[in-house]
Amino acid sequence: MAGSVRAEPVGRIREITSPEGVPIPFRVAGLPVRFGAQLLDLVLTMLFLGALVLCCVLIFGFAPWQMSLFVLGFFVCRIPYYIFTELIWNGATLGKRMLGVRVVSQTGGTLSVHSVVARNLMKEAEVFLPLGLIFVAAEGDGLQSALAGMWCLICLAIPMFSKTRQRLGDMIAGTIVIHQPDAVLLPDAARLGDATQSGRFAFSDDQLEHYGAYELQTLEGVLQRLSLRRQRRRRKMRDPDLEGVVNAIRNKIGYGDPVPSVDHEAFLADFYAAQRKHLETRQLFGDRRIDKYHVRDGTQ
Amino acid sequence: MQMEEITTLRSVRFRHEREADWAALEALLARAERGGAQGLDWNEARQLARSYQQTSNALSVAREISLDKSLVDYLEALVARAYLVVYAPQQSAGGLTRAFFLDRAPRAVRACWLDILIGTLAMAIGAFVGFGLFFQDPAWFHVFVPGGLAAGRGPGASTETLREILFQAPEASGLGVFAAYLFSHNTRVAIFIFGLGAFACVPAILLTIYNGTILGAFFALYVDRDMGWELGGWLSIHGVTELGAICVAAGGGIRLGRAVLFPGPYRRRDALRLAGRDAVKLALVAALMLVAAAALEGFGRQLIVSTEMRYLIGWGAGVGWISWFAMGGRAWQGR
Repeated sequence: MAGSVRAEPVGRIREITSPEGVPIPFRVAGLPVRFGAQLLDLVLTMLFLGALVLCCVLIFGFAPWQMSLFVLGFFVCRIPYYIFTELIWNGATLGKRMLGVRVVSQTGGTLSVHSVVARNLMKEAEVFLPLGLIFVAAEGDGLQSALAGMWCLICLAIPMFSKTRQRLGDMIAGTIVIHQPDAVLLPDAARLGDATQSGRFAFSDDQLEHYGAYELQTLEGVLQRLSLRRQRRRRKMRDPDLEGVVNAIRNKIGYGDPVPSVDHEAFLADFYAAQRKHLETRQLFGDRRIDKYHVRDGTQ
Repeated sequence: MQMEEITTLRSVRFRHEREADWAALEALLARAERGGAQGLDWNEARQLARSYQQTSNALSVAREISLDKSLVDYLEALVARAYLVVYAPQQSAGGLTRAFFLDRAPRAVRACWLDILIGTLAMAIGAFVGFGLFFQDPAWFHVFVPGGLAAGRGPGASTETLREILFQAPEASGLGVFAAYLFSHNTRVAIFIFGLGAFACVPAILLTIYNGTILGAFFALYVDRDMGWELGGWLSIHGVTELGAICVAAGGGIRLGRAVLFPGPYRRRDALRLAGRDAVKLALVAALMLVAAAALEGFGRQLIVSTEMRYLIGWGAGVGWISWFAMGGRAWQGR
């Protein structure tokens, strides 16, 4: 986790507005993860069913009622298993739990029983049929394999062309499959300077007029990485090119005095704190600066 | 001195003052995610709800006043986690079941009468086609009826064999297996037809017509041997319910397909979602009917060999279903 602290999140983001009116961003689960979860579920249910029948045969000997048990068990493994597990574990089957994805309502609010039932009823035609047809497409004769292949493609194309990777069942149910959010609180970058005993560098208001939030947060990333490296002694993590960063900033803001290399980190920490204070103050007055181009856009 | 200077930053103070609350919420969430929200006691549950709301507010404020990306990222993830726990499914199973049987299912069936009618017509057309083609050339039988389903019955079989199948003596031990098999197989077929409907109706209608041709071909075979009345009894006892279920499932599918083809003023995905509210109930009704049909077929048909009795039970069940669809939910509304 820590290695990818500053990496941009992979995949699409979908905001769901909670009933409190706060938009919450969720990471939409991609098709490979969902396919993986589906395969895991299939393997797990079949293993369980096999073990159950085997145990019964070993304990009671073979009897006709075991056949009914098997037939009913096989039925339960198809649709009801998915409905029950998603209801019990709040939108996650065993396979989804293992891969850290879950189903949520796209409109915000609770995941209703109706939604869970709807999205899983569609599984028979939309998931299990194509999974079976793959073999037909591979081995059938001309027309048969062409039709089978076409069906598989249609079922794959629907979520591919949906921005939120919804299959038909998801659209009917009004649900999205998302990654389970993982909250990690990094230290406040404005207080990282405490460790380096800085506070020696001062910046004038003119010097702080150049950058916007994007550059500030990029610098925050550099500082967070430094602090992580120091704390956990991660040798593998690449050392940021501090000198390059310091010189780029000095050139941009017109900071004349040279900064010795032992003070690079302290300089950056001080600049970050000063720049953030400046930008946050401007923001309170309604002057929101997205990035360094705010000057040219004439929003000053 | 350093700390003093920094804490003049509003966003730093804001974060500093609340960090402990967020950590407490995280601990509460970790427990709720492991053991479900039921594992929390009254005070903890209340704390969770309040904490969730406060953190939601904090996120809104942080987005306005803070440029600390790590803080906003963290709060977004924390609120998302809390949201998923707070808004977990919480409908009571008993209440839902009651509402389904007394009110929602029959109303959904009534609302979709046109779609069910289309499904029924598709099956009827199939049956006529199968019936007609058989009399043109009995070889059509093998085209429509798959070998496994025919099980030795066909234009080549002797009249005696065909009669035996209608009135064979039951092997009592195998009946449970037979009923279980019928139920699981038929329900999957029904859910399958339902799902196919969402693909613009066509596959579901084709499959329903095909099911109709099987029925028609069988009927023609027995009518050809002057056993139409007996086959009617053999089929009626479960077939009224079973074929009805297939028509209802096809109706659900057609309802979805219709939303895709003619979305009206909505976007297609929204039209699908709206249509889904009734269509899904039709699929559940079909599954329920198939449980009954499997019991009738697995036990009833094998144990009752009187043709009149078979007609009576089969069509009695049919009347039962129709009256449920026609009257369920009306008395409820009136009260």
